[in-house]
Amino acid sequence: MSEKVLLIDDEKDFIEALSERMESRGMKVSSTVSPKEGLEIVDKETFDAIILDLKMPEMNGLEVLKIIKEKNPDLQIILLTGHATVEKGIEAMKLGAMDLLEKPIDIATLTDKIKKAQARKMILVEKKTEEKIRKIITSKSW
Amino acid sequence: MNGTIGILGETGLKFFGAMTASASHELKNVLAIINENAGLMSDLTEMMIKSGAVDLDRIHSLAGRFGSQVSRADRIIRNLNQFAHSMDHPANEVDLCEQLQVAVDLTHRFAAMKGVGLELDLPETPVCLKTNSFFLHHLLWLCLEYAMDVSGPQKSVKIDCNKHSGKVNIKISGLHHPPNRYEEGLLSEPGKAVANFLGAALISDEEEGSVTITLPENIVFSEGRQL
Repeated sequence: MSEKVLLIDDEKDFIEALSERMESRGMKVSSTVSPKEGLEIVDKETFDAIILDLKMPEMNGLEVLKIIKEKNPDLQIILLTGHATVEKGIEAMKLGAMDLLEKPIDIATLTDKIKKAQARKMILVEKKTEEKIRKIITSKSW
Repeated sequence: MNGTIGILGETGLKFFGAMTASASHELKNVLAIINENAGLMSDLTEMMIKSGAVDLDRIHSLAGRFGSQVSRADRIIRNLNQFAHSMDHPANEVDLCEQLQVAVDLTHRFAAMKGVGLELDLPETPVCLKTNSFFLHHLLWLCLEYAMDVSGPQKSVKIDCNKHSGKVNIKISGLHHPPNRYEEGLLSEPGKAVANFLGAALISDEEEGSVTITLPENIVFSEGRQL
């Protein structure tokens, strides 16, 4: 099953090239240079993984991460940064990021993380479905 | 030097750190773009080998992307190098127009993060002065940082300069000073310390929405102002 990914980064040349490379690896990719537009896209569609730059004009990546996680805690978010520090990593994990990768990124590592994100999301969705079914079964007297 | 780092040293080092961190961050972005485009070129080459069809337009367009990122990196490194050399001498002959261009380029990324545009309006002839280039960069940064915070709804800051009656003036306009902000922000330490070291005066005009830095044509190191 192809992974559905959203890329949010203000560097146009970066997301254009990365999108094309990810698509050639069988992924379905949407992208935007605007974090605000990214939030609108997340409201309308669902994704297996969101790749989010940490430093952007309009809003920084941590703000975007916080908003997305508040709306949909199951979404898997991978942050990208120019300089990954332990401090930034901890902050990102505390806010619910799945991982923090340093630019320039290795496409094989990113692809691997996206596959893991998709698997993790599927487990979460399955768990929720099971819980819903259990609730229905226990609340109804057949 | 009195053996302690002092306010000029402390804030100067912080400023130096902030500028180099920002420039290195931008360089990482350039490397990331080059990396992705190199990867894309490699992917396309593999596809072309398999299909036997060569897409010259794609290769040409990718080469263009490499070229523009190399120019971008070259500009960042040139500015960073010029900035680093600003510490070479306690005082030297400075072309203010050139220094303002470097200062605006170094501030560009911070301005973009705040959604503020910086517009440089320079005279055609050089405006020369003898000053400490590093602390002039520092004072410009403090003023631009302040200006970006109070740039108002238009989010556009203009910088121009001139020389008049032995004084050099740098005007930063497009500001909407909130009450007391100028005193609390720009005129607090370290702004005062840096301005004092350079023999500069900072004049705020709330009606016009501007701050003017007035510098002597030749810096004079009086006792206690020496590095």
